[in-house]
This record gives sequence, C-alpha cells and structure tokens, in this order.
Amino acid sequence: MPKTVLVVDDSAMMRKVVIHNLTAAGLVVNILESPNGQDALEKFKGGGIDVVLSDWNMPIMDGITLVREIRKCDPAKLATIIMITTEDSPDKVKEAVLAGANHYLVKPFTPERFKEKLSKVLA
Amino acid sequence: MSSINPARPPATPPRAAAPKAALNVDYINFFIEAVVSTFSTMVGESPVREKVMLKTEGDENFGVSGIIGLAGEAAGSVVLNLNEDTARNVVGKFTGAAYQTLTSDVIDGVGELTNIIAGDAKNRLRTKGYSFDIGLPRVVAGRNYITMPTRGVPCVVVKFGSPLGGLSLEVCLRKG
Repeated sequence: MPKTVLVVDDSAMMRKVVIHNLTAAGLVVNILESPNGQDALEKFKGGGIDVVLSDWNMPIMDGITLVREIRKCDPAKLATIIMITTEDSPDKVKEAVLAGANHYLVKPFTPERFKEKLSKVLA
Repeated sequence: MSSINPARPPATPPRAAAPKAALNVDYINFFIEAVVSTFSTMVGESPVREKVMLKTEGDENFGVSGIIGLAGEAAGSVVLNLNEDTARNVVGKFTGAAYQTLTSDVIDGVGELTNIIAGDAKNRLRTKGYSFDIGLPRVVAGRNYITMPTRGVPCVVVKFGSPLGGLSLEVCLRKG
C-alpha cells in the first residue's frame, strides 16, 4: 500500500517542485499538501500520514513548531519528518533534529539527492 | 508577491555618476556560485558566466525579474532577470510542466528560484564569516520595464548563457 506524504510549504510553487521530484523519482505515494504548519498539523492529527516534508519558514506556524507539535502527538516517532529548507547552518540542523526531525534536505538539491533521502523512507 | 507591468515606462531618467564605493568581490563570487548551483541542481542545466560589468544605468528588461532584499553586514538587493522564453523554459524544467505563455506559475517559479539563490548565497557567505539576512522575494513581469540601481550602492551585473536561454543577476550591495 503506498505511503502518504504531506508536503508543507507556503509556496505553492515549491510544493509543486517537491511533488514533481517525488513523481520523477518514481516514488509511488499518496500526496497531501499544506500551506503552513497549522494546516499541516490538523491534517496530521486526522491520521494516515507516514511522511511529512516541511519547509522551515512559513506564516501562521513555521516548520520547526510543526515538528515539535507533531512529536507531541507522535512521541514514538512513527511518522518520518524531513525538513526541506534553505536554512543550512549547523545550529538550525541541530535544532530540527532535537525537535524531532528525522532528516534534513537543503535547497538547492539534485533529483538524485532527493531520491536518495526519500527512497529509504518510502521503501 | 508578484505584479505585472505591461506598460512602457518613461525613458530612463538621468543618473548621477557611477557610485565609487567598492563592492566586496567575495560577495559577487558567492552569488555567481549560488546561481550555477541552483540552476544545475534544481533546473538541470548549468549556466555559464559570460560577462561581469558594473551597472550604472537602468537597463531595459523584457520578461521576468525576481527581486530580493538583503540586510546585515552589507545591505542591498539581488535581481534575477530572465526573458520570457528563458523563464518559461527554466520554470518548466524546475516543475516538470510545459508553459506556453507567461503564466502566474512561471512568475512564481522565478520568485522561488530567486529565493533559493539568495538562500544558497547566504549560506556560502556565512561559511566565510559574512552574515546576511534575506527578505521575501518579489517578482516583476512585463515588457520594457527597467531595474534602476539605487544611488550610491555599487551594483554589478553578471550575464549568464545557458541552453535554456540567457539570464542575468544584479547584485547591488553597500556596507550595512
């Protein structure tokens, strides 16, 4: 059964790019979209989401807050969270991992790098 | 945020002499690297730097320009210019879609690429001890508009060639 991936980014264009990379990588998944962390959290609480791909900087609720909120209702870390962001400082990566993110993908990324990160998670 | 400006603007007003303030060449090199990296990874084509020149006047543009403000150690702006065909080709490769006209998706795509370039340059600059913050991108699209350098702010234009068409990057910065 295909896994369900929630793509979270305030830029509809960037969500489109992430979805294009999922499709181009041949990864068969169900895809949901959210424009901010708050909407994503509500969708996550609705159940059935296996992987969250989230931007960091977003209005209403940012990506790092989303990670913390998801881990409050998923303390066993059953869902995989991957941050996809231009923020690449070691402090930011550490902050994301401590909050509960599993992986970190810095933009710009190659299709190969994207596939490498996602194929392990979606296998 | 994006806006479309189809009207022809008035002729370029007379400008003061070129600013004498120096622009740190490191800044420019990191932005050039960021353009090449962003296009080669996310668009699948590596642009080649063709020309670097000082910008002293407003140039007439034709297509789409992504503009992003910078603050911190130096303050100013970065502008990514693509003509209409290049913008359609580039955003088509970026999203995996085909665009026959200059749609809102194409305009948004140029804004997103500008954002990624600025973020990548910011990260590269940080590793060398330069600290910058970047703003939110704005995009202008239309015909015969001009991007004017701010008086007193050194501005360099880097022109690139690529299989998807020509593009240019303007980096205008002064010490913050």
